[in-house]
This record gives sequence, C-alpha cells and structure tokens, in this order.
Amino acid sequence: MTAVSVIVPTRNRLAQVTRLLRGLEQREPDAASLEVIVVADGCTDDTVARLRGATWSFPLHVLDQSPSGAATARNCGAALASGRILLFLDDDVEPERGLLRAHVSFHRSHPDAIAVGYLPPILEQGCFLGMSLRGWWESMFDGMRRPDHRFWYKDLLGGHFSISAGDFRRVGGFDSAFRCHEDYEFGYRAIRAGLSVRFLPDAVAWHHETSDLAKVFRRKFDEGVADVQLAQSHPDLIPTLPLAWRLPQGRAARALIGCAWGRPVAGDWLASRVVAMLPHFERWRLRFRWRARLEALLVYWYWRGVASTIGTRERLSALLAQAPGPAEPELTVDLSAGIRHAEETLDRSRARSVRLVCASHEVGIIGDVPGAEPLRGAHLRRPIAREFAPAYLRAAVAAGHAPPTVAAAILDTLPAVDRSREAFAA
Amino acid sequence: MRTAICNVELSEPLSVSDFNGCRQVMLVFRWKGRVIGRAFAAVADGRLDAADVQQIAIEAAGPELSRRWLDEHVHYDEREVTGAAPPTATVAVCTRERPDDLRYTLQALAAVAPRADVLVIDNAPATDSARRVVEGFPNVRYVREPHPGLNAARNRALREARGEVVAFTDDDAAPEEGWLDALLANFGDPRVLCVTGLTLPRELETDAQEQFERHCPFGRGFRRRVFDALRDNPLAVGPVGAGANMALRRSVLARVGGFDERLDGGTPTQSGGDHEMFARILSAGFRIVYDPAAVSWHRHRRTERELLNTVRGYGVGVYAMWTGLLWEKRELGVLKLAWSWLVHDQLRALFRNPLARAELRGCLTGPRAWFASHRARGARV
Repeated sequence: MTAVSVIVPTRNRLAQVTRLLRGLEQREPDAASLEVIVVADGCTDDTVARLRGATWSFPLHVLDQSPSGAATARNCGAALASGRILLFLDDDVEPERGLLRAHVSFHRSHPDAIAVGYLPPILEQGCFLGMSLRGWWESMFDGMRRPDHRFWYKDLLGGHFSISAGDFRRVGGFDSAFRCHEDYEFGYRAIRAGLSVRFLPDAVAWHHETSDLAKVFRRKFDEGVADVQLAQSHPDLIPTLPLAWRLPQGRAARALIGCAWGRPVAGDWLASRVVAMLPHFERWRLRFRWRARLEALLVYWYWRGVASTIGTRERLSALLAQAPGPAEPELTVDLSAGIRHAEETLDRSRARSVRLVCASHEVGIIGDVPGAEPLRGAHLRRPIAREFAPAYLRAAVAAGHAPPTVAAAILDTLPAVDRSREAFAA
Repeated sequence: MRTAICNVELSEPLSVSDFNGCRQVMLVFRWKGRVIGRAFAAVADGRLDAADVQQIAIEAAGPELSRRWLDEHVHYDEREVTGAAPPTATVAVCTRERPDDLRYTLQALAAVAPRADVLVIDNAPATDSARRVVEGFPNVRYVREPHPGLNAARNRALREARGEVVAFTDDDAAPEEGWLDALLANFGDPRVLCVTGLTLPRELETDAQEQFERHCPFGRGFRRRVFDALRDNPLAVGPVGAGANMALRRSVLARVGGFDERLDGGTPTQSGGDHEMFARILSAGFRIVYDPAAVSWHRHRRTERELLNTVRGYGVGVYAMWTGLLWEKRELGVLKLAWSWLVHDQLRALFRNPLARAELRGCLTGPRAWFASHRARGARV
C-alpha cells in the first residue's frame, strides 16, 4: 500500500510545480512508497499536458478541473489518493531532504495527530516587503517551535501539513465555500474532532515567496471575506478574529477604514496614493515610516473584504453579538504541591481553562481559547514564569518556598514589579 | 589594586569578605553560577559584611534574582525549542602581535571548552610570536591571514571554520565555563544569525581601566534580549553587544555577506566592523540574540594613552560605519541617530569627561576615515 499521497493544487504555475516534483524525486529516497496527485485548478497553460507527458520516478496523477479554489482541489486530490497519509503541499515549495521521512515517522508515533511542516521563505534580500513577509511567516513558526505552545486552528497551514487519510475523511475535508483560510477552518474542525496538531521542524519545504504589494493586498481582502465566513460558520471563533478587535489605529488607517465601509471608490484612490509613497520611503530606507503606511493599507484591504461581504456596520455588530461570553475556568489547580504535580493534573484532565492557586493565593487564570487544543501540563510554565510572575512570587514567599535571599529580593522588588508588569513579562 | 573583582554566589550563605588594599570592589552576583547583576561598592576598613553584600545584591540584581529563581523553580527556559540539536562550533581568536594575551586566552579556552575546534587567525603578523604560542596548544589550528584588518581576519575565520557556528573571542579575553554552550543554545531559532554575550572586565587595576568600564562597558545588561528589525532600529546596534564576544552562523556569508573589510582594526576606521555586521543582519530580516549567560572576561587597556586611543577609535568606527550606510545604502536614518546621540549624550558629557571629547573627535574624523578606507580597499581589490 502507498505510504504517502502528496497532494498539490496548482494553477498556471508549471515551473513551480515542476521544481517541486523534481525536488521530491531527487531528495526523497523513499519515492517507491509515494504517489503524487497534482490538481490543476483551472489551468489555462500547458501544465496538464506537460506533467502527463513527462517521466517521473513515482506514480503521478494529474487531475484537471475547472477553477474551483484550493479547498475543492485538495478535496478532489484526497478522494483519489490511495496513501495512508495525505501530505498537502503548495506548488511554490521545494522539499528539503528528509521531509517525507519526518512526516511518516511522525504519524507512526502519533496516529491521531496532524503534522504541520516548516515553510522557511526564500525572499529577495534587502527589500522592505521581503523583510516583512519573512517576519510574518517566521513569526508563525516561532511559537510552534516552543514545547509550551498551545496549538490552535490558525497553526494549520494548508501549504504544508499531513494527516492520516482516515482522519481527513472523518473531519469532512475542506469546506469548499472558503476561497481563503480554508486551512484554518479545517484546523478548527479537526481540533474539535479531537485531533492534536504538532509542528515538525525537521520537515522542511522551502517556500519561494514571490508576493508583491498587489498580491499582498488581494490576500488581505480575501482574509476579510474569509473571516466573515468563519464568524458566520463558527461564532465561537469571533473573539479570535481581527474583525472583532478594537485596536488603536493611526489617523491614516482610521480614515481608510471609514472609506472601506461607505466610500470604497474614495478609499481605493486614497490607498493608491499611500501606495505611491512607499517607494520613496524605501529609497531612503525609512523603514518605520514605510511599515506604518503598509500597516494602514493592510488594515484597509482587510476591512474592504469584511465590508464587501457583510455590507453594513449594523450587520457586523449583529454578527459580533453572537460571540459567546467568558466562561468560568473548568478546573482549579493548586501549585503548592509543585509544578510537576500541577502539570500531571492538567495532562490527565485536558481542561480547556484553569484557575491557578498557590495555597490560598490566586495566581491567575489560563482561559479558554476558541479553536485551541485543550490545555496540557507544558502550557503552565510560561504563564507562571512571566504573566503571573508577580502573583506567584508573592504566593511562593508566603508559602515559604523561596530561599531567604530570594524572598528578600522578591519582597523588595514586588512593588516595582507590579508597576511594570509588562516589562517583567517581556 | 584599585578595584577588586569579587564573585558572589547568592544561592549559598554569604560571608564576610576581605578586600585589603582596595578602595572599592566590583561585586558580580550569581545565582547557581549564572551572572545576574553587578554593583560597585566602596570598601571601608578593607571589609564588606554579609548583610551589606545582601542589601547591595537586592538593590542591584533583585528583579533578575527573582526571575532566575522563578524560571528555575518552574523549569522554564525561554530559549527552549522543540527538536533542535545545538549546532557544531568553531572558536576563533583573531590576533596580532599580542602573544601574552593570546596565551592567556588559549589557556582559558582549553579549560572551559577542551573539545572545541579552536582556530587562531594571525592577522598580517610582523613576527612569528603567535605561531609559537599556538604550538604549545596541540588542538588549536593556526592560520595566517596576510591582509591586514580585523574584519579580514574574521572573514578568514568564517571560511576556515569547520563548525556551523563560529564563536569569536578577542585575544585579550577569557571566556568562562559554559560560554560556548550558552551561545549555541540560542541558535534553535533559524532566524538567529548571531548571538552576543556578556563581557565583563577581567581586572580594574588602573585608572584607565576603571574609566573604560564606566564610560563604554562591553556588557549590555543581565537580561536576555532578542533583536529583530520588526521591533528594533537595525541601525542602532549599540545595545546588541560587541565583537569581543559573539558567535555567527557560518551561513551568514551566503545570507548577508562577510564582514566589511573596510572597517575595524587595521584600517583607517579603527572599529565598527562588528556593528556594521549587526546592522546588516537585522536589516535583512534576521535576528540577533544578546544572552548574558555567555560570559567572557576582557582585559581593558591599562594606560591612559591606550584608553584615549581606543575610545577615539570607537568614535571613528561608529561614524565611519554610518557614513558607509548613508553613502552606499542611502540609510537616511543614520542622520537622526547621529543627531540624537550628539544632543542627548555626547554634548552633555563633553565638558565633564575627557573620554567624551576623545570620542567626539573620533566621530568628526569618521567620515573621512571611511572614504580613505574605501579607496584603499578599492585599490587593493
């Protein structure tokens, strides 16, 4: 039986998809247990003919479908797949040696889990947009790389993840109504179905990122549309979506957001004027000014997407009102018996939220995060060591856990710590 | 001795300390070996009692002591990442005609990193004194770099190294136990191209050494910090650290290029080569970590004349680096930085501190030095 089915949706990117397939041939010695399914989603070039006409070291199936989006393309590929493991890759990635082996060995030891692989971006050096994109991509992996990361639905990256074929069917595949963030939506249902998500730093697929500003803005617009869809489909996710946040915005962003709702033509013109300023800031390497304008533009295009989907602010308010209110913590854990004991308690219970106390002192609450995995013991350390540090230190002194010199230091510094809580947690 | 240097382990009972013949002491506070702070204290009657030391420790290192104890108590390590083995390393010592200092550094390395791949780059030597010193250390490789300049030597080290990471130490510094491991522990994040460590004075026996430590210490505090151009100004790299105690991924050569050989010791610009590399790494979207767990002890210049030359050289180097960034990369932001440094820092110190005057004199000649170095390099290439 085939071990892995690699599923690659593509549209008019023959060179990229060929690079990916040749990379799999050259860098994967286990190619005998591999099949590849390329789903040509509305290709108008000769991708289908050229791929079918070439010789490959693995079985290659090329599906040709009318343009229906990546979600439908991945579902079609999965329906045809015969592998025990489905590995989804975007067409603009290039596999590093050991990628397949990492996914296969992961699923051998984690039968009920999804593996998200690493997608380090390859970018043009020196340009501001490239630097921002690198930061955006890598910041997603920064968190996942830590052992205390609480995985959630936004960690599921459609460009590089694997899942057992049975679990994929059990979750119900991708929702084809989504043209963007279909991977997040799938991740939400997968986690709700009890699957865990893990990051595989050794499964590396280099991501040839070729976005320009126009693509980035189009993507932001699509994200606005998708977030409305996510909020409508899964109201419990609303607090996690930017459309529900009231973030302080600069003057330019506020003006642009205002236009997004009522005057899109004026907004687009204003946005184009701001875009025209960016090359001048870049020419003189004024990166902070450049970034502030880019942020305003990204906010604008996101809200343009939201507004174009939902129509009015009133409808958005009605949608946001469906968000569930805060809930009481499911579990109380006493830290006075030691951190290890608290971790074991949490590992056994897998509660979604927990109140931490130390003897009679409240230390803090780790709340439920919609779309996130239930809590594990490993999730305790960082909050106690950083966010809840002042409260825990005070409790530790009261309980006599701290040695005398440390206790004296804690008592001496706690008022200052309380005043600069963020500085301490940074 | 003018200022004694005393390590104080706060996890053990404090005792009365004798500092006969010293007028002050630099107390270096540790928690289970890890340096968490330091303070200068005047010594009366040659003694400091335990209660005084504890009070000084709490004032100087209280928040860091609480934090270190808490991290250890809950088993939290902010550097920890899943599934990343530490990279292999080469330790590089760039030297030029300082055999006694080099011997001291190699002895320190043999004690704290006996299995490390150590490389000595002898930069355009006039004698074979460094080679003779290296012959006394059978596990140390000797490479002669004929082109003068500290950055030429650093580039040679990057090319000759066998490890994935090259840890640089000055030839007048002595890394302590755990230095290399602490540097390497920060490379779990693939975006980190460079890690710098905490450099403390090995001796404070002359007025010049005390002034240096007061005016321009190498240490950048006792809390780990991650520098990223998405948050930090990539041109303001002073807080990042110093080349005397830094490690770079060897892939830095492919990612952002080697050290700029127009800068630093052995060229008209005298310094700034390490900071220019820091600025280039950050500007390209990569990260630098300052980790005070990687401790090295540096011997500062002993005489007034050496001190003034060194500080003046720092001024030359900073302005030379900024000149290059402005001229070649159109980094307009350096003008704001230079203005801000002048108004908020240099002018205030100008009438009180002769070192500030030396530094400013150096700054004024920095642009000319950069162009001179640029022309000389062009002629050589």
